[in-house]
Amino acid sequence: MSRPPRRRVVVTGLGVVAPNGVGVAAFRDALQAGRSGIQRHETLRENNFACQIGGVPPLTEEDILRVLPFSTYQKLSEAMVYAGLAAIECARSAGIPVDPMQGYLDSPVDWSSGAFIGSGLGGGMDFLYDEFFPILGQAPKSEPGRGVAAIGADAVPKVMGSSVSVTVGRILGLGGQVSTNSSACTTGTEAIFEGWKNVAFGFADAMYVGGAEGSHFGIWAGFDAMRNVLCSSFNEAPELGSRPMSATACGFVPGSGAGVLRLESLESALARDAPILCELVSAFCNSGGQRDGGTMTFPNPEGVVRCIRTVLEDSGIGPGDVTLINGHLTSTAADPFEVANWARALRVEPEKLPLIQSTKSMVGHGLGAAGAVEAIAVVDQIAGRYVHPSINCEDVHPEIRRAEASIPRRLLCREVDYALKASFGFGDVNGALVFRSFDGDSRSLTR
Amino acid sequence: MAFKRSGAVVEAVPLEALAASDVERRIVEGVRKYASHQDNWAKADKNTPFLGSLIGMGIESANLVDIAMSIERQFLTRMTKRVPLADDSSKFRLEPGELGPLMILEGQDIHAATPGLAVKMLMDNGHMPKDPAYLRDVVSFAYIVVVGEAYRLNDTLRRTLRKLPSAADPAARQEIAANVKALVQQARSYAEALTDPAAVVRSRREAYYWERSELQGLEAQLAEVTEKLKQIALSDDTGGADKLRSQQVSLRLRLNTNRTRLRVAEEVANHSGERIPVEEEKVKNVRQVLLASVAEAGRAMDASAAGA
Repeated sequence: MSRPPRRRVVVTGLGVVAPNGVGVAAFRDALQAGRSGIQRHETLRENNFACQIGGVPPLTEEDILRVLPFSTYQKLSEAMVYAGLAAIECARSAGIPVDPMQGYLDSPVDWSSGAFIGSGLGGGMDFLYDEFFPILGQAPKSEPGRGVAAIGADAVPKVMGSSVSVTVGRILGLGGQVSTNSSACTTGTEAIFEGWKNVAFGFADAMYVGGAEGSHFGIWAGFDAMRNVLCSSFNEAPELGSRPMSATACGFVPGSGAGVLRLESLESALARDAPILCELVSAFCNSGGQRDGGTMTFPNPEGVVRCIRTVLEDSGIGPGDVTLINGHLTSTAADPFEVANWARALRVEPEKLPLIQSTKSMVGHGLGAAGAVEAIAVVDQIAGRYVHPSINCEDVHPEIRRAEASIPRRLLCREVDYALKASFGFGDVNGALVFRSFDGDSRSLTR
Repeated sequence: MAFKRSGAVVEAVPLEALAASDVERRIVEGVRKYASHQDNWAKADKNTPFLGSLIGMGIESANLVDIAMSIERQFLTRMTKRVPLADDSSKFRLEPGELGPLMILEGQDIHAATPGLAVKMLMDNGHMPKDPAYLRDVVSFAYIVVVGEAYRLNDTLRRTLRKLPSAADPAARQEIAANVKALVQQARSYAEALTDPAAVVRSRREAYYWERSELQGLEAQLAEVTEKLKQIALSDDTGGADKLRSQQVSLRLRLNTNRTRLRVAEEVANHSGERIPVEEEKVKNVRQVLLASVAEAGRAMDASAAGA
């Protein structure tokens, strides 16, 4: 596939709200320590879920109100709060001043920046379940003409699909395209692809990209209703539950949170002397058509391989150039297939795979937030020159044993040159990203 | 699981048991979550507007309905017996009955721009006894509008003035200077008019008559369209009938908006004459603010002209 010349895109900011750390510093500490953010939750037990563990960011209302004004907070659903907090940290880390507590609606519009923040299921589920549907249920008994009045004027922004992106757009005053995508588990990765296109082809100088997902049990209920999809064997040992690539993996552990990256043209970043964390060299999304072995819940291997090979070819790199793979790797029966697909895509034997890790081992599967939170882990590893462990896979799955040496079981201090991030979502949709350490070479602003 | 929201469970209390100042305090508490200007909300008194961020609590107009709902949720009233209106049995008025949930009927809160005016609304509609001592210090809707417009004019003048030093080029500076000059003239005239209640009434009556003629124009159009529909109903021109029905709906919607605006204009025109002491104080303060901005604009324009 040939592409027109495009601007080089770099990452200049990160913001994360993750189950094992709120804020990049805390997230990094947890990743390096191999610390899981998975806990058992009483609400899941009360509702007789089979899987009673999950990843929820350790945030209190007081923490949120240190960053967001009360009136803003009241208008936000859980996922919107996560997106807002992550975006604020991202902007600040990129050197963009933002302080909602001092008032932000008078700040000028940033016409050169936009946002693609996705969400899988969680846009407003907490509001829908706790307030919206109870009122709706009482509507037939209410006053004529006032059946749904109690829902309030802020209901629509909380439940509309674009809730998470417009939250970011409002807080940061963005004047570029502001939109929400949704592609199940690929959402976060796809958002990065969409934002990358905007910057690479000159529609924006910078894009805030990522994903957010709430943790309401209503979001997780559908997965618990499917057989063998969620992990139900580790309710008594939650931190061991998310076990990508393990022989005893028994389903994914649901997670939540948000990740936001600031993608920027190299030209813009250099002009304002922004911190450059790494370069996003290539990105691509496709689908397997739910054919040839692909279904609603399982990827067509051909689609996966095409997706990965496309970004490799577009980046002009070979398998030997790749230091690190951050896989989708969810702790399900699909993991061995994914590892095999990676080997096939890179045209190497499994023994020759680069380092392959799963951030989900520590944060669970953040659904719409997953790709973004995991991409942040990748960027931080490149910038920080480390590789985090993939925990809970001491007992590697027999079909992955050939690649066992590629699985980092402890923290490695290592230069990461090229890193591949991929996500594969329900609906047989795929996304892949190629990140590269920025070598300071700015002679060419385009590729 | 996720962060717990500290939402207060509101228990409705009978209005008849509360003093006016208590009702006011509860109303202010109840709108906290919509107030985007928390500093103004924290200092709010009976005369702090709900809307607007200059001197108001910063509640957005989209949340107006939430203000009414937050009041309804908090109080019980004896005005619960529904009596259908003679000309429209689907609408009703409320008369004394059993203690029950408060209902603010459509249009009743149109002038409840501040906590004090919301309390007045409750008194006017029989939900609580009138308290002349309390009402003595409540700024009327008319002067909330008149004083609010003065602050908005002042804010516009100051924002435009702030653009002057950083004008990109002489042409831009000239344009900004012209805008400042026009705004200064408006601000001076407004400040001058504020010294004379009769002048305020005159200008507000003009605004009211203008709105009224707009409304009458729309009513005439609606009558014409309705008549045409009656005629066309006798024919088989369904396309024509559909078009007229659309026009009818559009006119009815515009009329609803205009009627509300007219009621506001009427209220302001009728009550901007006599001023109570607290209104005099508000007018005096905003005049000072306006005239200070006018003086500063004059100095800035002189400096800009000298620099050019």
